[in-house]
Amino acid sequence: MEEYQWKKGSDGMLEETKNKAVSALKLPKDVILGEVLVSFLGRHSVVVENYRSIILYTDSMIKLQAKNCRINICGSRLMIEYYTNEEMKINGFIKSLEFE
Amino acid sequence: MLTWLKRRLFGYLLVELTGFSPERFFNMCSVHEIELWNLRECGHSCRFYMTVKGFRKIKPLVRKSKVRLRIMKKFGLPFFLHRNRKRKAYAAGLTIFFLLLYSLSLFVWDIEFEGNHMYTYDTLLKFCETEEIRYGMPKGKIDCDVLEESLRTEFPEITWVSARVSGTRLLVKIKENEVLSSIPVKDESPCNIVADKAGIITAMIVRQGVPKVRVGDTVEKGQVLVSGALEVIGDDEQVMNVHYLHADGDITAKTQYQMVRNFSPYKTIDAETGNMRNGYFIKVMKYSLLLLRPKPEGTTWKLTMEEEQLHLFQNFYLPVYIGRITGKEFISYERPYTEEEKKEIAETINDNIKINLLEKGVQIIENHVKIQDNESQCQVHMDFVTEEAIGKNQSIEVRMMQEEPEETINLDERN
Repeated sequence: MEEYQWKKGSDGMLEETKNKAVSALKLPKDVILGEVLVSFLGRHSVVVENYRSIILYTDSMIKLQAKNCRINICGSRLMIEYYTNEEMKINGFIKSLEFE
Repeated sequence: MLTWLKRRLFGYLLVELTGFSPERFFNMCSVHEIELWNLRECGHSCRFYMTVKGFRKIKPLVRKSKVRLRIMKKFGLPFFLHRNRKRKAYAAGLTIFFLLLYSLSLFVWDIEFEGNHMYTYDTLLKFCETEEIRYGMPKGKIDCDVLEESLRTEFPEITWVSARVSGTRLLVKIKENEVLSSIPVKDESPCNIVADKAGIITAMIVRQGVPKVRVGDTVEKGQVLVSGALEVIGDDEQVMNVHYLHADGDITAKTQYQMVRNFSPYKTIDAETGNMRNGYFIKVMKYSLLLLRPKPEGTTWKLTMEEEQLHLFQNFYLPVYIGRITGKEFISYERPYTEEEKKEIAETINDNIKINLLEKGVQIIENHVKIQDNESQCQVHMDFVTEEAIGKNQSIEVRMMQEEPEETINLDERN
């Protein structure tokens, strides 16, 4: 988290260099750059990692804030099975997942 | 599994949340590391589960996010205990149960021997009792090493013992020596061979000693067949000296057996009437309880019982025995045997005797069976003509041994 805060305030150039370095070294981007990682298990459950906060939570839509995007999960009977600082598991009938 | 257990142990709550911005509350919870799970929206409210520990820390967050919380349901051990706090007898019963189980597990309730062929279970158990190891003794007092050693010293035929306490059972594994542990010492003391039965000699093999009879001779019981006294006769045909030997030989003779057996001419028949009586038998340590309906007057019953020791799992035997008793009513009456049945009985009697004789090494040449009928008794007459070894060692009496030096002394005197 602290690293992330520091990056946000820093230069865009630094970000780009870091991106290249990570690609060259073949490091996992979700860990180093804090990119969001979404894994589906069928259409009934999805695990979102590296999200920042919940923006909206209703029965039919969940909106999450990630590092540089927002994620909308639409469906019905959506339910958060568990969530921690980094990870959230959503169960329910998922219709779509969009990035904003 | 571990989280489930932890939640159950410390308790958790189902909480209903209403308010303007539940999302803010959720985010704050995640920042403060308060665990929420199974979030579900129900109309205007939102329901979720949280731990009791989390609920205690949540107050400032509630105030900040301006939501309202309501506890819907409480789960877990602390709430269960609180709900049942008045059921003291229940708790006491549960505690007593576990205490009893624990205290019972401190004793031995079953002793098992494995691998014993020569020594019976009772022999070994009796020996264990002399070693202060018995049914119902505390487990801690058993010293397996001492028991093993004493078993080995007490029973020389046991070559290997392993004793261990498993649960409430004492398991003793035994290996017995399969070959003879000692070689029989050859008897060399002077003796005669005498006949132990009257008969006609059919064969004689003398390995040592002086034969006194010949094949074809009729001998009486106790007659000397092979003498162990070897007389040395001098030129003047006088006995100069006597050497005493261990007479050895095989003498077979034709012998006869005559036997009479009686049996009652009436057969007792127990006819079952079909009436049954079931009952139970419970034995706890020394005390036993019989659950059986009393029998009606003037009836006779055959009772059988199957007893079983209760045990938890495989090795936790309890000092409780349960027996199932089955009673069958019967009426006994007598009727005379038919001729065929009599013959059959005579046959079986004869066969039994035959088997006995054969086991003794007797060869049967002829066998006659006759049934004589009296009013009160049936008699089976059996005649056997047999062939068997009749030699029996009879040590030469000490008196004769003493005569020898006397004789020599006399001779010396004469000379």
